[in-house]
Amino acid sequence: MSSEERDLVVRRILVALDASPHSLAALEAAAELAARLEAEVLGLFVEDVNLLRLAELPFTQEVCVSTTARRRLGVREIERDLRAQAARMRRTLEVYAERAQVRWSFRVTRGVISRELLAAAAEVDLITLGRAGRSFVGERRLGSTARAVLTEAPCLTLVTQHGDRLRLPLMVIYDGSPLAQKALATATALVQGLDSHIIVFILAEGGEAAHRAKAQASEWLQKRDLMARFHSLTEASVSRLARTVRMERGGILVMPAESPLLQGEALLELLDEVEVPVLLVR
Amino acid sequence: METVKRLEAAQLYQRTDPEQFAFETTADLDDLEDPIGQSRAVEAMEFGTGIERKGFNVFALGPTGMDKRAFVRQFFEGQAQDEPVPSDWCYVNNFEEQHKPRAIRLPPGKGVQLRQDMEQVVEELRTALAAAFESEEYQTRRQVIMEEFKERQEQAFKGLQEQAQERDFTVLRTPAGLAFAPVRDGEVLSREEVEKLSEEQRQRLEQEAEALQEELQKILRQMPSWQREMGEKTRELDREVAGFAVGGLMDEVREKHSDFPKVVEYLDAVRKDVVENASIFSPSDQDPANVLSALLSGGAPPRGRGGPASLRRYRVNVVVDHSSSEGAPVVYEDHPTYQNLIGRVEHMAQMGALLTDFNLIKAGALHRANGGYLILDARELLLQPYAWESLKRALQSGQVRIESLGQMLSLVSTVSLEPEPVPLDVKVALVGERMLYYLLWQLDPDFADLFKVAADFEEQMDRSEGNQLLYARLIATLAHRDGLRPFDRGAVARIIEHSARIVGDAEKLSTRMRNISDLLQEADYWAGKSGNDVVSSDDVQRAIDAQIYRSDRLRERAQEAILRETLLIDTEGESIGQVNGLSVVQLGEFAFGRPTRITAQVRMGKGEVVDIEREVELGGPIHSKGVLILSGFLGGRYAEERPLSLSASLVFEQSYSGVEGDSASSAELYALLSAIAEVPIKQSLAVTGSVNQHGRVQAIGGVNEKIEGFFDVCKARGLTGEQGVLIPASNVKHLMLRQDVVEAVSAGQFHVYPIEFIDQGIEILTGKPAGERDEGGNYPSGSINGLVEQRLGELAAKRAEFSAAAKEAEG
Repeated sequence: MSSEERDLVVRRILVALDASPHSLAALEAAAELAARLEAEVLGLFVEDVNLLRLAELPFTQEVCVSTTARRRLGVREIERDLRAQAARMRRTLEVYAERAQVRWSFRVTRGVISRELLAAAAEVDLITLGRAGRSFVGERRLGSTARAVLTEAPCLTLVTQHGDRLRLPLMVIYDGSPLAQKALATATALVQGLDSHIIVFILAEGGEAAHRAKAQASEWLQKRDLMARFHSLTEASVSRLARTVRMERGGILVMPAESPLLQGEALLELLDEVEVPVLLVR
Repeated sequence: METVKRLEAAQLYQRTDPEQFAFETTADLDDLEDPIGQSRAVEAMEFGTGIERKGFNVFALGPTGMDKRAFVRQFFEGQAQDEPVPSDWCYVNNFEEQHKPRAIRLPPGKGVQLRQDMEQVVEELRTALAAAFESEEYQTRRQVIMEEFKERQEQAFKGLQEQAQERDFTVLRTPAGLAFAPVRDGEVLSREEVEKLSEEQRQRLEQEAEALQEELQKILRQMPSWQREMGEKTRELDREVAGFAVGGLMDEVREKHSDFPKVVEYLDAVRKDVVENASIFSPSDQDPANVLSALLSGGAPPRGRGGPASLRRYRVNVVVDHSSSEGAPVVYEDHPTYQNLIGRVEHMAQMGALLTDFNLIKAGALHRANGGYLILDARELLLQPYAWESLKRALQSGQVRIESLGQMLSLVSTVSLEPEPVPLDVKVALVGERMLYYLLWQLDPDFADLFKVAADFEEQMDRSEGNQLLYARLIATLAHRDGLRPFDRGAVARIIEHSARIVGDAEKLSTRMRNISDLLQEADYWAGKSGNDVVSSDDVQRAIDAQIYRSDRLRERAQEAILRETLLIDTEGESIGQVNGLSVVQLGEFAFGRPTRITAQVRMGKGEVVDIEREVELGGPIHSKGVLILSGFLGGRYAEERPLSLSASLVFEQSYSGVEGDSASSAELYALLSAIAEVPIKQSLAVTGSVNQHGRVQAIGGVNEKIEGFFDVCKARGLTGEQGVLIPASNVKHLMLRQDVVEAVSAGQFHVYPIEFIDQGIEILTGKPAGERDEGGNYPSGSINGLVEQRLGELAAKRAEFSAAAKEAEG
């Protein structure tokens, strides 16, 4: 085993639980990964301090979605609702964890959600969360919390959406950078022992670079007896990359958190458009 | 006055000479096509079957045991085989009004074909629709609709969110909805922070929150209509996809049945319904969009009823199937209940409720016989509640309408069906007794309109030589039909003789098939017992004897009572005012004769003849009539010019049950004359015959049984050669006496006297001349009439004296 592989040590997986369907997918993924990597699942429910503040304000009202009626919100009501949600999430976590036969714990904190999640992420190896929080409309874009965590979390970050399943084969975005190398290593570690191949999307600025990157990745994989399929995408737009990923219908997309070719908004845009769980490696 | 000639043995029994038949056994004979001796009924049936007008239905009337039904059936079948096979009838779902299933008429055999076609179409539709709805194209298009809806929502909310951001607000998810909160640096302002703001700033915040909330409400109010729109679009898509999938399949069937507008109309309705309810073809499909559209449209059947059960509505219920029929149907309904006649709608229990649909419509006899012939037993029909009424209604209206009895009587109010009535074209034949026919005629005003043809069955026919040959062929036919041994000509002759005896007339033959066929079967049985291959006259005789013996118990008891002198009957000697009368006891089909002692007593009186039977109400009206005729006769003949000053009483000795009929009136008269004239009557003779006021003896029934009844008593006591029976001369043609009687007569041991007038009879009974009036109007002295007149004269004189003395005593 090479040193890169030993880097993938996942002992604790944090899962951000709100009551949304996306977060249930995150929970399921967390439980599954924990079972595979022999890790522990930490459930975190954050009581949104913004909500509590809102309730204290004298002029804001709740607009009921089903009746469109307006009414004042009370702090105690909000607290009660949050407690109920937390209790429900705890029970859900228990069910999933027992089913996957992993150790688990559950914690409730109060604060600004993204801040609390990032704080908690500092103590774990992997954080999983849904791509958006609770919403009445069919929100497909990344939620603000997910954006914050994706860009700032110090650890591996897995973003899921409702209906996701951790399937094989894994997909990796590879651009030859050290971080991309780490992503490749992570993917390799995840499929270790499973009879599966890996799909590699080579990102490069030109044919030369692409060829080089491919050779590197190929050599790495061959050493580990892993079959792979390559897609070379030179000077590809985000939407083309997203389309290629969608067509492959693979499982988790493992990618470096930073890439010269996917800077800033481009990364988030890609995450918006691919409809698979994404594991950011940093 | 001429003396009465005793009958010769040959007059007592009309033999059928086996030698007149050319055949050896009935195996040589051809079967009869038509029934014999029923020319009237045949003509009526020919007319009734041939005429094709409303109301010319047939009532076949006659006594039981005539094989009327088989006759009618044979007749109808003969007619029906050349007639066209009538239409098939199907009931199908009425997609507009479910409770009124539609009736479809189809050429024979097409009904089953339509049913099979529909079964196949439904089966194919399932796969075709499943394929259509699973197709990439459909899924994509539906996805597009959903996306469009989602996008619309998103756009609206995104816009709202942007508005909020511009105003430094954020949207928060609250327990039941959404709320807007002012933010600074990504964090919601706390209460303290808000309080620190200036009044102006706070008001601005409030206004902006208000504006955002209003905007949100506006968006939310639009949501349901967007949702409806999406539902409508999805449904439209479903319809389009289903319509395409269904089209090809239905076109094929439609083409196949394009000659029948009603089928085409039905198939078009099916197509429309399938397109509207495509989802019921895929019960496993739990697609939320379909559920949503189903809920929104409100019309589609709930999912719980999906699956094969709801596909029942596309079935075809072939109630009348003539695919394998040849000619017009001839139906005999042996249990003509209301429902068996006009059909019924069955129910099935489902979750404790009784449900029904057009698939549970069952045809009745009228449906099955439609276009042909229906035979019903009149008595059975009238015994079934409402059956007669329903038959009449169907015939009158010319259509069969299926209604449940409960519905008709308003007894139950469960949902039931009102199947479309089916036009009716049927010839009905009722088979029944004459009494029923005449009662119906009299009591039911509709009867005459509906059953205009009466086929009246004759129970006897002339015993001509030609008819005897026909009879032989009838025997051959029956033997053949029932698989019996052939009958030799001797047996045939014996059967013909017995047939004459059954009708009690030497010149007639019975046409009651039951009696004949019973006798044939029994004779065959005895032939089998004796190991004969051919039934002989001995076997027939044995069968007849056995029949008699089996029903003979009571006759034997009566004979025994006479022989042991419990019942007093003299068969020799003489006595005054006493004569042997003869009566007949009828027990089922068996009748036997029995001698009865009749006695008369006379005394002075006011001229009445008292019938003791009548006084105690044991005598019937006809019997009383006979007795009253006697006083008419006495008064007219002997007491024209003086009062009839006698009182007589007549009685049937040792009779403990009712006496009816006037066949003993001549015997009563003989007893009376003997009592008045005080001349004894020979007890070796027995008498039967009625008498009129002029002393003429008239025919009676059961003459054979009566003679045999007296003969049996005499024979048991020993025939003296003196014994005999006086019968009316007009009954001689009815004589078919038992062989032993005939033999005794030919040996001179027993005598049968045909009597025309009372005077002939009294001479034989008393051995004295009756006497005729001379020129002076007087009867010769010593003659019976003379003695009677003399006695009556004496009585009258005594009475005159008596009444004079009485007057004096009073004076």
